[in-house]
Amino acid sequence: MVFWIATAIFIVSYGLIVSERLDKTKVALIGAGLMMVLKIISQHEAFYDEKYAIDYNVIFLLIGMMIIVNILSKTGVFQFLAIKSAKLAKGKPFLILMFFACITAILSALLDNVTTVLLLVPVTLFIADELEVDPFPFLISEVMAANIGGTATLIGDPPNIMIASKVQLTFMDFIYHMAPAVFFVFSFFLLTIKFVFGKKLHVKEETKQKILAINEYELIKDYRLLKKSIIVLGMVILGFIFHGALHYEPATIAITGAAVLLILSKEDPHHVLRELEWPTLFFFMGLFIIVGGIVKVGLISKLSEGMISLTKPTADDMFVTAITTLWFSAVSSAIVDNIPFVASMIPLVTDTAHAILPSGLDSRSVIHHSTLMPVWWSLALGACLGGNGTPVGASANVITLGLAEKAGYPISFKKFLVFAVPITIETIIISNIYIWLRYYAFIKY
Amino acid sequence: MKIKDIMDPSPNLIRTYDTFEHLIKILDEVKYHVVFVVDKEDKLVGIVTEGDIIKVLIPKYVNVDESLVSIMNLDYFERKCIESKNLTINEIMTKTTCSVSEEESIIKAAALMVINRIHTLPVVRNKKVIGMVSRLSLIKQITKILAEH
Repeated sequence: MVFWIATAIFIVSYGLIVSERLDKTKVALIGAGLMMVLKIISQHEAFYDEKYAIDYNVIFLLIGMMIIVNILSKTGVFQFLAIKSAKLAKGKPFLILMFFACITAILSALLDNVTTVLLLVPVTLFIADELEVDPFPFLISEVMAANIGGTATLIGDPPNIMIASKVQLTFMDFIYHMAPAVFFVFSFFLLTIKFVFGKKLHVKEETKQKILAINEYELIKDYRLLKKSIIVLGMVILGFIFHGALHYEPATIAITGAAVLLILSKEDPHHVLRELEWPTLFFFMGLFIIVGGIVKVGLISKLSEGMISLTKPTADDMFVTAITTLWFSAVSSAIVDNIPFVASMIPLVTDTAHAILPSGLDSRSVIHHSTLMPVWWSLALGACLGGNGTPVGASANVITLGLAEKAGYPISFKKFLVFAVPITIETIIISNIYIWLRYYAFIKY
Repeated sequence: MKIKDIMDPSPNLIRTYDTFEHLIKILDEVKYHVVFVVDKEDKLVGIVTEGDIIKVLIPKYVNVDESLVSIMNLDYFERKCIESKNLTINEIMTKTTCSVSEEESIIKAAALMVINRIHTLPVVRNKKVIGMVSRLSLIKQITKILAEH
């Protein structure tokens, strides 16, 4: 009975999140509340249990990075970088588009992709307006670049943060395994946008001169704050690089960096904290409890049996499981929010591994098993890159389309899909080849 | 006292399909910088104020990121004026049918102006604009009343 109640709560919550008929944070919190009220999972388990509880490593890593990015964004450095790169491109529209895509990808990898597009979209519209060209090629390229760039690092996209926390992967694990995949995916992406938009974007010489005449230094609002923010961000990134060796969790690094920057910046913490994305954080917390509930009642174990019979993994070879996970994650993340998807997939993959791998291994050895690792990377690649598929696939897409509409350049669902679907399929094909070449064709993990 | 006692019987009118250029020409010739917008059947559909006209020249992305104002080119104003020449009134106006009728009390006009923070109100008969009242006409009326008492 408990099994079916938990399953019903999970399915209804998922359905409501997908249908967007109710705010997703409300759905997650109500679902979590029901799981506890109906005693499917106790409050103690929901808050403190190692297997079922809210993953505070994810929550505090997000809070820490949100604080740092919030303070950094007040300096005007994002806008400065965009205009500087437009000038370096000598006002040539296509080169500007390429530079903007690269900046978006890098910033999304190091910070978070939602803030990156939130700050770069208005500057992009400004540049397109000055150049008197259609902003669509710029906007769509930036959204895609944000999602691709975010895939490269542990902190770039929420699915990576969640996978890293549960599987105990380090920042450098992501750099070593995900960044090369993203390098190939992004290179092909740039070639594709060159093919699609390269010949369409041309302007007169005098229009290019207008870009060169802009004084980008006007955009820096506070040089002292910028200096402090960059030093702290640099230290935090160094902390991430060495957190595995130093045995610190990423959340420790992020929250300490955030605290130091709050003190150095003299910003009012009430003001900064008010601007954090609390609905997203509570959405995560609610989801963790819902997923904790279905893990506890055994739904995930049942689903993992299905996965085993479908992909037939063995203790030596999970190639089919990895590739199925990659494509299944990509399609699901394009349609559903990738956060609840990954939250459910992590225990599913873990259970599958426990069922297949030798029973004498401890929990950490199972999730870190060399046969299983490509499945984790496939999940991360599929979930992050799949977000590019539709306007609702990732938060960065929703934010960009919302801003574009507000600024008088609405992008229709269909117009987005025409460009996004082929690009998403291309990026997943490249990821598929990468997974095969890196982990199966020549080199064994 | 009724609205018809203080209203100006020659309001500035423009049609939804007229152009921005035409609007600017009208404004150059009239005493109030407010124009009421009427449809094909002369019925009130909106209003164009000085604020609406200036808004046309300001790109909307500035609402999202105010800092971009500091780097806009010197010729931006001129370029936008020329680009906006053929915009229709329908694209510029503020849609509203907030109005008073000639038989209503002037206190209603005063209250509507304060509540809606507007300076001029159209006076309508069967939804057609037949006149206008302004804050200035109300002030003149106050002066007149005080002078008599």
